[in-house]
Amino acid sequence: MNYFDLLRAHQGYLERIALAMLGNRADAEDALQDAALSGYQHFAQLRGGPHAFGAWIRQILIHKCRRILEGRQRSFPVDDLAPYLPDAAPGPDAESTAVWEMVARLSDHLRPVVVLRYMLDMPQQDVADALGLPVGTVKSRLGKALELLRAMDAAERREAL
Amino acid sequence: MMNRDDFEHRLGQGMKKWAEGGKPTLDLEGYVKNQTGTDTDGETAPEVSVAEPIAEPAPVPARTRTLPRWFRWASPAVAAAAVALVLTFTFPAWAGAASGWPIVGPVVTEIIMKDAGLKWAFDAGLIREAVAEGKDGDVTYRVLGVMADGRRTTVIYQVTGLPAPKPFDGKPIPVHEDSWIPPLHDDMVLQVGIAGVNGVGGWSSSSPPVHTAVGYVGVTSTSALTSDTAEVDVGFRFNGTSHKLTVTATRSETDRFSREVAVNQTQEIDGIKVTVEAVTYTPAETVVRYRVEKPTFWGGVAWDQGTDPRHYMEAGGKRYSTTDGSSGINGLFHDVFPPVKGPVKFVIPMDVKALEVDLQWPLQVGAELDVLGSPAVLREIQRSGGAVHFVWEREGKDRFMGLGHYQVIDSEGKAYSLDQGGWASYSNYRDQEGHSHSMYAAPLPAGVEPVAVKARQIGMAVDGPWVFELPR
Repeated sequence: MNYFDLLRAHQGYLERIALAMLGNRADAEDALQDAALSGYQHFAQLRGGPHAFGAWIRQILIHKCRRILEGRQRSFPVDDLAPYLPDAAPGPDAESTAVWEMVARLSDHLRPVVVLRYMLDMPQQDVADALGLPVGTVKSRLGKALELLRAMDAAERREAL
Repeated sequence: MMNRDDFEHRLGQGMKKWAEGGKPTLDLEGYVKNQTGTDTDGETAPEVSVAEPIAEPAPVPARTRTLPRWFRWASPAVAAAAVALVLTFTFPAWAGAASGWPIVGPVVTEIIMKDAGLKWAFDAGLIREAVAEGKDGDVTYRVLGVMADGRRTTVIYQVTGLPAPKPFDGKPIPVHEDSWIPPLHDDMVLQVGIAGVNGVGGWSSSSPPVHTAVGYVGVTSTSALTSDTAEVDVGFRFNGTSHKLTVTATRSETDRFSREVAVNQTQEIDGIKVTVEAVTYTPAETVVRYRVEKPTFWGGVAWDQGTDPRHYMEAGGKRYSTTDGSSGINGLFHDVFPPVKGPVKFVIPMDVKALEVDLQWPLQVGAELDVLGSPAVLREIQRSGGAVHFVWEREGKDRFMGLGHYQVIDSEGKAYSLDQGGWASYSNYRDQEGHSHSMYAAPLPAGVEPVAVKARQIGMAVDGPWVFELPR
């Protein structure tokens, strides 16, 4: 199975990971293109056959996202903001869309931690390694993020009553 | 792995489902082929051996969970009530946020629209609903929004249930133990302050709250966060008591849309050295960060009528006045201008520096002093509420800008600084002839009976301009 067949099979999921980590489509596209190119160039290093491709390319993508997050501070042109505004991306049902809308409101420092921990089920130490953070920082950010998300969730529920 | 509660479980499942719903939107294959020069001319893409075909994306790590039995039996409403109950006792401020008070109304919106940074944050969806609330009897005080950027940390607040402002009765301002909340004048029924913890703070700026149809509404700021996220205390004083709400501020959202460019240009004129360190271009503002090194004058300044000492920015043939600015900490200032395009020039037309002096009036109405060759006369002296209040006038149209660093002298000749008591009030103006008029009031040190008042500084005007070409 060639690289592009595998990439196509995973692409929709990878686009969502990038969007969730970076919060806007413009950056997500940059990360995806970098990851796709890097994956192509290092495809020979993939071990475990096609079944390992998903985890492998995901790891590359997370690394690209991290680099964008680290370089993001004060590096944006300001002429055209539209691609950088928070992205509305509906999920397959109302519940998943509502969850994303809450997560999308988190800051750049909280959202990636939540994505890796709860979307990808990565252990806290792996989240720390992936983002280059001390595990204590990951824990505190998760705590803060959950506090905010719970408050948002409770607000939604009260409004719905 | 730690056990997750129902909320975390729902969060994880919702995010996984959302991710599974993703559809390819980019031509990644075309991009890679274009970048690597491998097009569809027969060159094959790298391959791996296929043990079995992959028809669908390897989705989310598949992990089914079984809810605790009581949760399976409990209705969602009961679960929601349980979460709300826990929130109420665990995170009172955020539990307040949960009620989702609408803040979009004509009164609040008008105040938001007056502040470029708040307007941008509001437009970007960063200010959506109240984030914290407290109650004391019939009075409700709320933080409606928090906005943090590279220049400042600002909250917009609302207080309902208080009466309209009272007319000013002229009484001196009491000093309060919570020095970070500004003192409450007798004519005010509410005062609000902001103080950072975890590295926030340094200066704060509060406009008096505006009494509106939806209660008192206002904006108060402190300096920029030194970390990406920090807690900020917002203090409310009314009915003789102080209250505090703690909210979280984060810079990351606003920083995403900002671009800081290093400038590092220095100019010195007549002993006043100005160094522009950086300019930050944001969708809402152009912020110039600069440092001023000079003998600082700690007193009120009265400019000649017709003189405009305001800093400005020139861009595209237009001149822009500052929309905001910091009063400075350790000589570091921020001037804020509207967003501009093209080459930009930052101009400081003139400034004031201190001249150290030792000028002493006997504390008697009519006492006269020679100040830079012109007479300065004490016109009024009042003592009330542990404070001293005096007015002086000086003739002469020159570089003199005012007096500062006042002290009182007791009968034994001991000097006591007047600006150490937690507050000082002053007003200065120049009349059409250029004569200076100044009022100063401050608390007296306990037990001190003053016989004289002394000024230790004269403020002197220095003509610029200091002009800086700012890179884009």
